[in-house]
Amino acid sequence: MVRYVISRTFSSVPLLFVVITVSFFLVRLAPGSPLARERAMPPEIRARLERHYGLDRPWSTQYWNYLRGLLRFDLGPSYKQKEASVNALIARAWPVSATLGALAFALALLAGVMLGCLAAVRRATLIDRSLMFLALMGVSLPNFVLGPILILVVSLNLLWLPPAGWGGTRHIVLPVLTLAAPYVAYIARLTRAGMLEALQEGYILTARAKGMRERRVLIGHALRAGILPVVSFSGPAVAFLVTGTVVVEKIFAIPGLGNLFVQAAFNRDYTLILGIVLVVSTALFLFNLLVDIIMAILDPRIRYGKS
Amino acid sequence: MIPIRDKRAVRSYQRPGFLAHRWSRIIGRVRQASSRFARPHRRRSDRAPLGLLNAGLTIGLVALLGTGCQNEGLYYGVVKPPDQPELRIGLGSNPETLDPHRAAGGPEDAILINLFEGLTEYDPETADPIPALAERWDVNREATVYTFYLRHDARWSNGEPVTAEDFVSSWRRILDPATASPNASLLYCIRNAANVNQGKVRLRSRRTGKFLTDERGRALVIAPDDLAHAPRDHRDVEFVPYTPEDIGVEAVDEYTLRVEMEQPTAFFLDLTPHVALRPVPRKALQRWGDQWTRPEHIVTNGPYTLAEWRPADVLILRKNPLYYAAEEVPIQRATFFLADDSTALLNLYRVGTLDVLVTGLLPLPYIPLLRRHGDYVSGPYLMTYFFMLNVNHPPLNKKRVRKALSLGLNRQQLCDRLLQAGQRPAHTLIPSDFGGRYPRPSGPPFDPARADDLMRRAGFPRGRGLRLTLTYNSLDINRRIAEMVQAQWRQVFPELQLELVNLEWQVYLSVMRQRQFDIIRRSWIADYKDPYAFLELMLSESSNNFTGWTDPIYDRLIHLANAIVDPVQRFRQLAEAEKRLIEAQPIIPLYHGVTFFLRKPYVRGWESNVLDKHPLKFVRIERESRNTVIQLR
Repeated sequence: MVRYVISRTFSSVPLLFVVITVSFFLVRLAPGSPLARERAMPPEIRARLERHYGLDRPWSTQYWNYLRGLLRFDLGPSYKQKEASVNALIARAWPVSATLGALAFALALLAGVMLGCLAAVRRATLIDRSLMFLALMGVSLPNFVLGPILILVVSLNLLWLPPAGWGGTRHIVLPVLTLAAPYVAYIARLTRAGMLEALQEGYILTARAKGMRERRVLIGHALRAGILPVVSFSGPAVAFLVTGTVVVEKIFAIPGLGNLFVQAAFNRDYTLILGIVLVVSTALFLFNLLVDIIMAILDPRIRYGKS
Repeated sequence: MIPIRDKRAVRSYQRPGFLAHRWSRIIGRVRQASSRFARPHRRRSDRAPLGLLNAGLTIGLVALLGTGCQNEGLYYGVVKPPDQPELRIGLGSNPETLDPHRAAGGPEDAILINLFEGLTEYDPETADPIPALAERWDVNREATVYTFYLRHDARWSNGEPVTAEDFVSSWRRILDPATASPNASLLYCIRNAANVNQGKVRLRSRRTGKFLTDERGRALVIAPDDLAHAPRDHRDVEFVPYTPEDIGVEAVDEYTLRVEMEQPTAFFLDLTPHVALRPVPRKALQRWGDQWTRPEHIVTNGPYTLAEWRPADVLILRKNPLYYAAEEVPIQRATFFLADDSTALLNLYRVGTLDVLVTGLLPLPYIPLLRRHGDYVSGPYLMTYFFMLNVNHPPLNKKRVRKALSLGLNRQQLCDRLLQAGQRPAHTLIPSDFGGRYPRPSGPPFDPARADDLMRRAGFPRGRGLRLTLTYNSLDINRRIAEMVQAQWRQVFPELQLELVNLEWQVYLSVMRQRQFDIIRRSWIADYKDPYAFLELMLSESSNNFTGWTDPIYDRLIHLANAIVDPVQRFRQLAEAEKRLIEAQPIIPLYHGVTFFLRKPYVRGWESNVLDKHPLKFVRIERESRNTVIQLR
């Protein structure tokens, strides 16, 4: 197991390297420049700024300098936010996105698994059908529709919660709900399907035949196997949730990584774009690895490193 | 300088919220009738005895009502003054820096004018310079020497006095090429400022030790690029670069600042409130370098200091207790909301979290609705929206074609049907007559018959054979303007083939810089209250003149005009230059903008003015807003 983790970690390094290299040149290929603005600067001032940021150097030099910075975990200065480093900007925005994403995922997991189990156990009853209908709604309703509806009803009309911003518990509720809704629905459907499949298995019959209590049969055996699809889905889901969700952060004006990324892309803030890409891809890798480990713990049939 | 909000492009993400607002209008009527706490200051007659509705019922009613009814409230949303004397402002974009010398303008200005105080301050209603650090000033008869007498009781927030030396070192810093300030050219009217900023070099005779001059007695100056070509074997001549000490600004004594101009400059006072001319703290700069604007390091001399700055979230100013007139500053704390989603900000305004929503943040479709509310404030603005024509691209090199295109535009229709916020049709670049002093040239009106005639004489009858592109950056308003222009031209020149090119912001900027366009939309906001703030844009040497049109006579007229001391004569001559510009038509003006912002009824002193500048020290909260409502009725 340990060997597996180590080898996966090492194999990820070239992957991240490729991601960074491709992104580095792609952002520079896009038309525009971090120094461009509606009022053009006099050429001599522009030249001076380009020199200041090293943008006048050939791309290869810029690339090596960037890689050298990365070795020191230095993501460089932001071209647009003149006094801030990319490290500082990400360090400020990431906790916001992570809080939002983690809460949304916790809610999605809790509610989704519970509802999914309920639907599977009460299969083909009214409960099952209405839950699955709601889940279908949840999956189909995009968050740029759900978010404004929640804002409209809860904030603008009832004045219960703030419509936008970040700062307190009151600000967290609506974005978390909006973000979690499709995941609740999807996880509920996954759990239900997984549970139904598991309930057909022979070991469930055995467990019941042994006279095990139904509750233990369901939670200890059926759920343990039935939840596997949810776990494998969770890896990328968590990675995306905690690294910022562009649409929800935009709707609720949340100063997270997603918003930062959109702005960076619009401003051609090269270093900031690359920094966020690096953070997101690292997170993606980490959570996928984590999921593989959890899978092995949950399912005795999965073993790594021996074959 | 004020980019018309670089970041506005981001705001095209406002779609989702649109929905919310349309629906909210529908429900508005129901809620208006029912919710007692939602709009505490609504007129009594609005309250129908419907009782409290819950959220579910509300949604149900949305479905039942189906069609929209307008919310005819007196004010838009909740009117509830903050408990503390504080002001919450929806700014809608993230400042790039808090260094007044490195800021490009726009959102930064709104914050910086409160942190740093200059010789003068903007009058909140007229935007004219009024005394601030300078109690009074003298100008010599030729308008070549300005002397400012500073007040003795002004201090930096670290307790040190603000002296004339602060201005000297600050202006040397902004003009130092190493600072690379985007606004340095604003100070070019000061003696040697341009030479220093552009790294120019003088020639000095080794023999006599004197600087070489031309036949008119002016110093011989060469640009750094030309230096490389200068003969190296010139034994008797040495090259002496200009240094910041050569700039015509000096501290006569601790509180007297003397500024020498390059040539007579009658409008210099109008420049003095600009943030680029405000002083920065010498010692903090030396000590902290680039990091001096961080909240823990920054030293300011204005009515406010920086309390907190969370990028993309909020920036908070706190009243500066050491400010010389601190007792007269009513607002203790100001919070600027930096999030760039205009719908989110409008929602915050609506629920009463914001007291002011600044110009440029109101989405176009809401304007007809918002206009009917008492918190919508609008007024003239020194801003012009226009097309730049690439006069190097045939057939736009023909003046007749350019004139015909301009004559074929119905700008009145554009303002009345599309823009609807009180914008005025533009036939000239300059939006204002500056209080009747500037004799604006009259531009050609809408004249389809003459347009048709000119086009025929240019060889394109009914626009036949004419293929043009119209480029704009992807923003709802630009697209709709372009479509309306296309429709109008199609009526006058039915066979004209006009292709609309919608580009992402950065692509648009790069296309403009590389002049890969026929017609491109632009807008321009004056940096200071003078016609020259517009006319400089079209000078041959301007880095923003992308038309390819240059006219030495235009340049000369302007340079000569700027040397005239008498304002009436100077304005007359500037108007001559503008007349030449409009006659040549390298640009097609479309409309003159307006400031339009939302302001809760209890906010006083945040007024509309032509530069859209709002110093916080003049703003106060009027708690008796309930009475206000009654009075306004």
